[in-house]
Amino acid sequence: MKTRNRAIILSLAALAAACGGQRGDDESSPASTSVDDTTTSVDDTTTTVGAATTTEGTAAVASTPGTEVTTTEAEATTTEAEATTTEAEATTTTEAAPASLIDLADCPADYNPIEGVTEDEIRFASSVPQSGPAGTFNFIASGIRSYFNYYNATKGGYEGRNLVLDIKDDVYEPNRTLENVEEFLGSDQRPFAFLGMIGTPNNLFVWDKINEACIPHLYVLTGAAEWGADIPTHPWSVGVLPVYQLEVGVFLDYLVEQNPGVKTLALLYQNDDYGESYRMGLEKAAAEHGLEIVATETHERGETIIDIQINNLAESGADVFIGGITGDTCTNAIRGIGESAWDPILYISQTCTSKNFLDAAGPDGATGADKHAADVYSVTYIQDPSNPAFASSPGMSEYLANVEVYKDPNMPMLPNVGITAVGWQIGELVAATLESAGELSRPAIMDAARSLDFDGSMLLDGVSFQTGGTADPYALEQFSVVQYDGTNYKYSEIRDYEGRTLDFVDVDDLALE
Amino acid sequence: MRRLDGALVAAVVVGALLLAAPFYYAPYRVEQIASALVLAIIVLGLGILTGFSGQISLGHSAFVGIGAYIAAILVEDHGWPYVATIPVAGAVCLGAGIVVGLPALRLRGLHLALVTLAFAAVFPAMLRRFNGLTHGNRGIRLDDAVAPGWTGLADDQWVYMVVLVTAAALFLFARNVIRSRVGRSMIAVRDDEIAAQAAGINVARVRTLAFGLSALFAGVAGALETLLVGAVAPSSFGVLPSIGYVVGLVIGGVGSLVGALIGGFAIHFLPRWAADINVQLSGVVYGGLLIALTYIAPDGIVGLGRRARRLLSSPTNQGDNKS
Repeated sequence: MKTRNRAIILSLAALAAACGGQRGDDESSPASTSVDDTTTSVDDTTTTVGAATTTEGTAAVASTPGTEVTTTEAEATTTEAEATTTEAEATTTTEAAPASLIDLADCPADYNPIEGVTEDEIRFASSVPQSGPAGTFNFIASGIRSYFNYYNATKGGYEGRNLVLDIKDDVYEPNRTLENVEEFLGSDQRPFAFLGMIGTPNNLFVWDKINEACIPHLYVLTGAAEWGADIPTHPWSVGVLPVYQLEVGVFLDYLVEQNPGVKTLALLYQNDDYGESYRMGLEKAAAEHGLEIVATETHERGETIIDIQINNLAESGADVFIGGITGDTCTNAIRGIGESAWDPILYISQTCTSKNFLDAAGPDGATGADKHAADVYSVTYIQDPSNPAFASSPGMSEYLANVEVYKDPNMPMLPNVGITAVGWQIGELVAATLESAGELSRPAIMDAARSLDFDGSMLLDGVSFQTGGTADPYALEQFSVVQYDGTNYKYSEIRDYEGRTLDFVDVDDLALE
Repeated sequence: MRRLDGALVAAVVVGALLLAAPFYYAPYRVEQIASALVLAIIVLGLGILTGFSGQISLGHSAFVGIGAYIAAILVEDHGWPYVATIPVAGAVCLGAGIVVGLPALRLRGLHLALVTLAFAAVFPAMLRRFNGLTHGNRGIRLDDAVAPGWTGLADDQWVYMVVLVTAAALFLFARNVIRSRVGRSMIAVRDDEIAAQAAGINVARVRTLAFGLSALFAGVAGALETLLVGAVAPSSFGVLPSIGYVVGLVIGGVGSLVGALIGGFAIHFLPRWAADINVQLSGVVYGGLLIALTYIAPDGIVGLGRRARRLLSSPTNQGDNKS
């Protein structure tokens, strides 16, 4: 009987939690206003693939799986360098328009380059952690959806077609990511492209499948160097975030410039693919600068109490602390070092630059005015929504005014969280990529993603998305070094590493096949 | 006699349905059913441990991981065919299970649960540490399994059939173990250790053997998972799946073969259905379902079936219901 009562109480509690969760979302849900005016000349969708032209101009054809496309002479496609850009924000430049890296000869026999596109929709699909320990990444997906709703409502979508993002939860487990992708591939509503999937192993599990299906695997959201180091075998996968190894390279370049006397480094990194990239980058960059890594410690993901690791690193007495860490660990590392007798210069991951994390370290920590003032450094490329200094920039004010208005009422939304802004920025980048592609087809969108030149509205002044074929596969390679003194942020001038990411990566370390 | 026939008919029907599934469903759906079968094997092994020898383990994801990595390393680095890795994974995990089961000789209940939980928690970190063997965080990716020509099956159907046949063999094996002397010893140890010892049963041996057998099932399931997914990575084998297996055991019904099958399907499909209802509340919906199930069917779905049958067959006999 007792167990029964307990079960009833638990159920009631669960119900209460459920209701509590829903309430906040009920206010203003500006339903993703669909654009009625879908009469946009359907001829626009005619797809030119090499010599073969899908002549049936009706957009309905787009969703017919059988559309015949001869795939032999495919290279000649798309992306005229001078693709006229309709929106002011999308500027496509022409430097050496790269030949398409896509070869449709390898694609399935029934391949349709405009699958997932209908008269009024362009369908994207994603698999992200929406629940479980990594569930906060859902904010990125929420940010993308919010931008899509905003774009559909205020700009009429892309040529009258609403951008739609289907999302499945993978709990950050690679097996589930694979299962989700297979489900998308086997469903009646196959996507035009996959977009913004999170996690290095997660994306590695699916990139062979997606490439075999010749579906764009757009803007993979991990800073691993894989997404771009292997274009010949994975031409359909493209990353977007700055590569972690490059970030460490920027740290050390700046460090030796500012503090030529330093000799020794101590590294703390998260023991997974994320932290490992920092270790790999640091080993390479330190060797090149003649610096010595005298102590290395790791912590497991989710392990935020890191006093032992900090103590061990402090014993080394190294000149510089490098943190390949994220989330609460950033705060705890800064605080822990501040409380120790150790007095290093701190360089921490750009994921730590959010004002939320740094402020939480408190005035008594390393950032306090007494002891380590002006000694915490990081890099960033994007405006921080939690820092009021950016509130008046045009991109940020557009974001702040709209991100909540156009949110998906069924998804969590916190505008102040940095990754929400990243999601919004990715959404804008997708729209800009479509607009610069010249035509609506899978090969065209890949070519556009490989020849980006777009000033994202949320990026720092002087930073832009730039890619250029196999020579320059990475989109974000310009940074400002941020220095935090406990109250204020000093942003350095933009340091430009355009086209240089691979200089900082040891390709042998990567999981290429 | 009548009851036996009923069970036989049910087994034949379920078997026929499972056999027909890959020819009816789309490949991704076939893979989902195969995943559920793999989970059922794990739950079955856990059932031998918990249901029959009375020990608890929250560390079975590590055994699944060992099996999965053995299969992946043998296929990728040593060129083995997928199917040949299955017995190796089972044998190694049998050994690993016996070793991990040694502390179980001295630990009971919650303490044993904690030790096994710690095993599951450090396992991914160990995979990352020995990256020369395990390829570290990025894991190992394999070429998809290809159906041998003589079968005439599509690749996904072949994989499914391997899983189904292995699962059927293991269910039969489990049934025989339970009905054997070993199985009866396990039940005796579970019900009253001292009495069992007095009856001449070597309690230590029975308990370790139960751990080993249970790990064997998990290891084979791990190898099948590698075959199914075609990739392994440390992040797939954390603590959460381990707890999921115990959930499957409780939902299906502890100490029942059919319950293991039901449990495997339940922990595969229920969270996904919950997410279809509402992603944001999927945890709440799933949790609510679990609470409701434990309330309605405290002995698992199998127990619910038994109660229903009893109620239907002898309406006067409702006193049984109190159990």
